[in-house]
Amino acid sequence: MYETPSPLLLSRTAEAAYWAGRYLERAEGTARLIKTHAELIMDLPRSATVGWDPLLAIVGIDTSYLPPSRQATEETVVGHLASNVSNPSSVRASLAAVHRNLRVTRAVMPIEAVEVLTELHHHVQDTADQAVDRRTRGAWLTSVIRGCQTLSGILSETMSHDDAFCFFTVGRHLERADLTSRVLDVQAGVLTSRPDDALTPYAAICWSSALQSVCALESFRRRGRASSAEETIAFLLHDTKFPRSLESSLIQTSRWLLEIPGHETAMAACAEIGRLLQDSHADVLVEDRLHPFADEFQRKIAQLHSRIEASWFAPSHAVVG
Amino acid sequence: MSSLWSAYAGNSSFDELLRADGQPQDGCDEILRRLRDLGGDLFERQVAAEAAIRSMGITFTLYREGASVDRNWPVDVIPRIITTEEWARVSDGLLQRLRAINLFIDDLYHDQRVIADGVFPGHLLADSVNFRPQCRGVSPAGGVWAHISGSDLVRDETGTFFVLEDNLRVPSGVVYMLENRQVSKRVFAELFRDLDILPVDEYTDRLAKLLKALSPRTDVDPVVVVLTPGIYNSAYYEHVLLASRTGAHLVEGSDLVVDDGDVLFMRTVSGLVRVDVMYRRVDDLYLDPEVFLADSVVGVPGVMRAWAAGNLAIANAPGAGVADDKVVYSFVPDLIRYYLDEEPKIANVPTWRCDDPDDRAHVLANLDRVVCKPANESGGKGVTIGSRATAAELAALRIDIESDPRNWVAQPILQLSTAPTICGDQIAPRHVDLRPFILSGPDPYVTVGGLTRVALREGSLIVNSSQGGGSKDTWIIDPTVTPPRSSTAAVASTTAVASTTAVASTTAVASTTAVASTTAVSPPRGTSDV
Repeated sequence: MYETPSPLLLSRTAEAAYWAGRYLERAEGTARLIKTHAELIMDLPRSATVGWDPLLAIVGIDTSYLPPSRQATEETVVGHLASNVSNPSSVRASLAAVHRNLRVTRAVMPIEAVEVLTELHHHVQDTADQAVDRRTRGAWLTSVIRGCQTLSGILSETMSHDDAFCFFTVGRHLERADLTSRVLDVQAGVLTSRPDDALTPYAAICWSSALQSVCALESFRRRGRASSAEETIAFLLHDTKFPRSLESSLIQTSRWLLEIPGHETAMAACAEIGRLLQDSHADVLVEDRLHPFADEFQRKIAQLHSRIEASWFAPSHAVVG
Repeated sequence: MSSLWSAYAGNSSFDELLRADGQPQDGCDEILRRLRDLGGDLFERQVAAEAAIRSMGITFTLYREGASVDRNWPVDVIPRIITTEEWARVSDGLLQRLRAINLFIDDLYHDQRVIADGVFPGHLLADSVNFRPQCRGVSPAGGVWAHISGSDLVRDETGTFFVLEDNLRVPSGVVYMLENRQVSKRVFAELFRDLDILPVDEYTDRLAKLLKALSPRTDVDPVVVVLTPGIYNSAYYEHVLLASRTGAHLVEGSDLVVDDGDVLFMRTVSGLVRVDVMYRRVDDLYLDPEVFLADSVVGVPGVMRAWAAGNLAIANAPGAGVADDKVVYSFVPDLIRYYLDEEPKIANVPTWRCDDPDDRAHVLANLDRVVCKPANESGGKGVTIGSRATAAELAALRIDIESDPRNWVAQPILQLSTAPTICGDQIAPRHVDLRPFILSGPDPYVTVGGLTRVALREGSLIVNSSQGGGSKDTWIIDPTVTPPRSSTAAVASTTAVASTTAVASTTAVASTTAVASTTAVSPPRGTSDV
């Protein structure tokens, strides 16, 4: 078999590739979240009082302390998440971050990927205001999601699967795990916090929406399951066939980490996340335990991130060649 | 002939394509005919070129109000033509020039024979801002200091090439030469099929070979890096492409460290890896805070130690910029005679040195009729064209020259050559220059043509992209090769129409056939609803 050693990879380039992966996944995930939530709201009765703040909660912004006059409106939330440049996690800012990071890794990327990225970046920077207007929002978000997927696709299919690609892919899957856990957390919060309220008849719709927001609805249905809380949580936690479940994201993260020399401490952190998943059963999580689980999961993801940083982005000064 | 070219009536400059009588320059018959036949289609090609540049992400970075902004690289699709015969002469002249310049730099940092022999005045060296005493006694491999250089060439009203200046520090633009070719191949595919246009792509292979050949370690495959000041530098795009096309690592100062044994390492995900060759795109003064500017954040502490100890090759060698001085430039013809015992094959533009009392008097008396240049600036900074300056600007210039004559030179205002350029809905003559790139080392090389820069405003002589200049692809064409197509305009335009139709219908037929045959021969796939 033909084997070549992986070309040398600068720590700084590795870090940029990793963040490019994270931000690309974040841009795609956030775009899908907005799109799904807008569709959900159209299905719910006005009395259900599900506003736009759950979306903010998913990306880690708490609005409960705000006075009523500053409550989250559709326009402010969508603007904040899609086009606000001062929110570093907005779709627009995330793609600007992908662009910035891939500028650093450009020397190791195929030209086709550079072209798609450049077009996507210009498109998003030029048209971000279309996200706020209801009439144009759907098409805009779809174009962003598609652009992100095209870029991931080109990179997977044309770039050497060397260390730079491994870091990019690890970043994507780690971000994906983080995002799916947030979707679960917030959706559960919406439903379990108000069991007697007008929302109960719409619980199935809400869970479908949760699945939809990580692109899982069709896969879930094909397994012949009902849209119950328990089934949904089990699917998003443990289904190893669906690529955006926590379990699958973790498997992919580990698989690509294993390709990189010096992965021992990072893999130990992965193993901890694996144990947490194994010990978590959907029937137990349904009630009020989902939130502490999600918290713990995100803490361990953050720990994995620190290990990755320590292992490769700020390496020791051992001379290897 | 169409009115598109009517702006050409009365062009008093030497034009690269069209003689004053409306006839093509030598060797340009076929290309001019093809361009004229395109008519208004040329504008569509221009639009296509700009779209290609945008989607290929070919940019350069500008500083505006403290922020850096990426601009799409400006290219004009009408190529600038030079014949192979003429280019061979120019290449020879450039190689000769760089041989002499490298001998001169090496001499300055060793015995300074050139001063002892009275060819170059010692006091000019003492006052040189780019002479680095820290480099004295260092002997780079083969005595070569300026490995990668770019000389700016212009033509006067007779069509004669002159060297306007030599860029020996960190000349930029070569990648745009390569990218302009990619773009013109996309938009002029049929011309590349029918004409013998020499390819330009060899440059990066030659550069890669040169850099590897500089490695002080001969027992291992050398590790080569390109040192960039970072992603906000105006030439970052070029640094990325040079690194990726030569297989070098693109590094910043913070990626590098020099150990106590004077060896340079880069920080990788597997640990520290020794670096053998550095193509630096950082000016001398920022290269090593231990030796030069102490607060430089883009350099590498200790890199000069590694270089002086012979553990690292640096291209261009620190100190090479001493010959980048426009006062030194004015001595290059003398240096060629002194070191090579040959006559210069390309002339300098006549240059007055303000350091010399007679020259200075002449310059000061004729400020409105000369171009004044500071000796050590680049990118067109500080240049004053006397005939276009206000009285106040000339007064300020006079004070500048009188207070620091050593750092000023002046040249006659040249009537630069023009080339046809798309300007709005017209094709008009615009002034151009040419920057070829020269590799000096065991196997010297000159790019096939170079980067043609064009001043987009009518009458302007300023070609720098940072000041609104544009660019053109440069085609070196062998006119003795007969194009395969017949030679009358009528037939050519018919051919053009016919081939468009043919392409369209061929595509349609081909794709239909392909679909049909796929359906016919491929085994059934997927589910039965096909």
